[in-house]
Amino acid sequence: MSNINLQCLLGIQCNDFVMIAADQSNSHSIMVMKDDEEKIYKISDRLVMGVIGDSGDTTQFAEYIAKNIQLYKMRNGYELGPTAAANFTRRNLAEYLRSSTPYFVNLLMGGYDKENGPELYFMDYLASSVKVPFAAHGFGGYLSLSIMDRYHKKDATEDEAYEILQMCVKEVHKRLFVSLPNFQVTVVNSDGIKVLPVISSGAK
Amino acid sequence: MLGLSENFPEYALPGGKQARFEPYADNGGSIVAIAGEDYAVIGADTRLSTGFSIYTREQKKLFQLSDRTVLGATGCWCDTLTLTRLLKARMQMYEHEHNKSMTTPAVAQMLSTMLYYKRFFPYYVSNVLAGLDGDGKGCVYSYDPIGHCERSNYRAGGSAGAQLQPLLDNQIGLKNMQNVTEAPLPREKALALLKDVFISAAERDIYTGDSIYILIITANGIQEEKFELRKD
Amino acid sequence: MALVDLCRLDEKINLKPASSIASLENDVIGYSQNFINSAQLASPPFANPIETLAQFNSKDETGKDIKIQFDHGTTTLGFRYKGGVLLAVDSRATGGQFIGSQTMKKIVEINDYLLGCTTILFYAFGVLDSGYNWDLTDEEAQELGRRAIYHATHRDAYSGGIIRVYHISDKGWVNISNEDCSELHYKYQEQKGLKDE
Repeated sequence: MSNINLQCLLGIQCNDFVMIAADQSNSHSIMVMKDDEEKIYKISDRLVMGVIGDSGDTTQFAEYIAKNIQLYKMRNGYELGPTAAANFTRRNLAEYLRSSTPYFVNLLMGGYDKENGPELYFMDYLASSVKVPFAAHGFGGYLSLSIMDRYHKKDATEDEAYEILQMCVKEVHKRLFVSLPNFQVTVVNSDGIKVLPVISSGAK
Repeated sequence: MLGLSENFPEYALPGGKQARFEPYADNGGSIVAIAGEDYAVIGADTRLSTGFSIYTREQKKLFQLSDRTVLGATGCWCDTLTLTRLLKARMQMYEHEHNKSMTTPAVAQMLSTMLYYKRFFPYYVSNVLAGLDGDGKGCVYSYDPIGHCERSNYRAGGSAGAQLQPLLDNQIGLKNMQNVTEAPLPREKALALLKDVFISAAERDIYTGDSIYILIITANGIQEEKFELRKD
Repeated sequence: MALVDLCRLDEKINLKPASSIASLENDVIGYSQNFINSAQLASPPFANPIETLAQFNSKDETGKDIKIQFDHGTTTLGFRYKGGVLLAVDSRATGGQFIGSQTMKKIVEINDYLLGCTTILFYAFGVLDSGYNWDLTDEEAQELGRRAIYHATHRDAYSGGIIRVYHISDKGWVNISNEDCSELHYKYQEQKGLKDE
């Protein structure tokens, strides 16, 4: 049985940046193996991808996408923007889905480019892809969506967005029966990628 | 009991089949009730069917419970008969005990408890109760199969209920419209609307048609009317 | 009759004399038990009602779908704070996918001091938890309850209609507001500075 819904991904896009948070638990069956796992992958200078799902699949798929996007840059001399990268990822996910070796991963892709500013893409393992202002995966997402509905605004600062994520994580800690103690947070803006402090159940 | 075909296959009759217990049937039919200031109108079509065959084109599905209360019931016809018979019996008991007839809200509440009594083996009936309340105002009560009851001013139920209700929401409830003024609905308008929505239902629902039997409840008594629908 | 007994035919065919139609009386009692006690429920003529009823929810003899759909209410919430207890509910009742009612009263006004209701949905929890503290003022508490239900109606298709807010204090309960959630939607959008997205 997969634990894809027991993991959690959160993402918020505002006027100047896009912020992604991912839980850091790695569990097998009923046991937690690790609580400092990195689930947010840097794809290029201004592009990150949060991935949850079966643990082999997540790494394999994320690295495959990351390396291919790098390869594209080397071959062509310019990078794929967030939209192009999301479409590339979606296409790959869709093709693997119809093969004998599908990837069972849900992901959020956040990136920044000069023309379109920050963008957030929501993608599930069936390769549906939507551009959204905020999104969440997993059971934790159910608890978080109404908080994002309530507090999200386009002109929020990075500090405000981080606070919204803190509220979501707090809610996950309070109401979700699964232990997801740590959430790593990454922000992408015009300056590039920045890692923000981990939101932990102990803090605050 | 021994299942003949499973345990003794060699004795099974060719073509013989053990019937499953299917206690419910859906005999179709629709009801619409509209309440106004001092009246209530209720109509039900008169088609009774099973699957794609029609049992009769003139089955009245309205039950006149008193001179100010009428019940419309469709669904499993045998359940309807049982339910309405019990309802009438209990109303008579009430009358003997209290020396007055039941008001429509009282009947409405009693119907709710009677339906809930069968919580674990419900009547397969869609009920809409219409009449005048204690103050002489029109009222309509609708139910789910196990007695959830709600008072309103208009309601459609039965096989075309899901088609008819949005039409009433638009024409009577004036739902989601801006700058509308609420005005009391005249009886003639309610009656015309009731006929119109049934014409629409008969157009799209195979279990609704033939004709409508309408009862108009006012303080002066109950008037009867019949209106022809398509018969195909 | 010996052969009948030996073959156990009486188990399959009713050969009992007419006098035993006295069992009809039992039927009458079965149908009318709640004439005397209105809280009594009929016991169904089969074991395990949950499973058996689910089996009946299939098809009738002609193959037509039989679907007994009960009206379900979904979102209600309540919390305690320094000013008393606050209850907020939506008003949508659904039977399957059909919205049976948009005006259902999910709070039962039992007496001046008691209200009854129960389910709470995770969509409502998010907003409720994030805005809750013990020292809320009455207005803040009312707005929090209303907000929490509004966000639940926005996310959950089974919730909607009118949002009713009740406040209970030592003076009994008061119905604070009954607002259509689609009107609230535009009000809150406006507060956020959003027109229609």
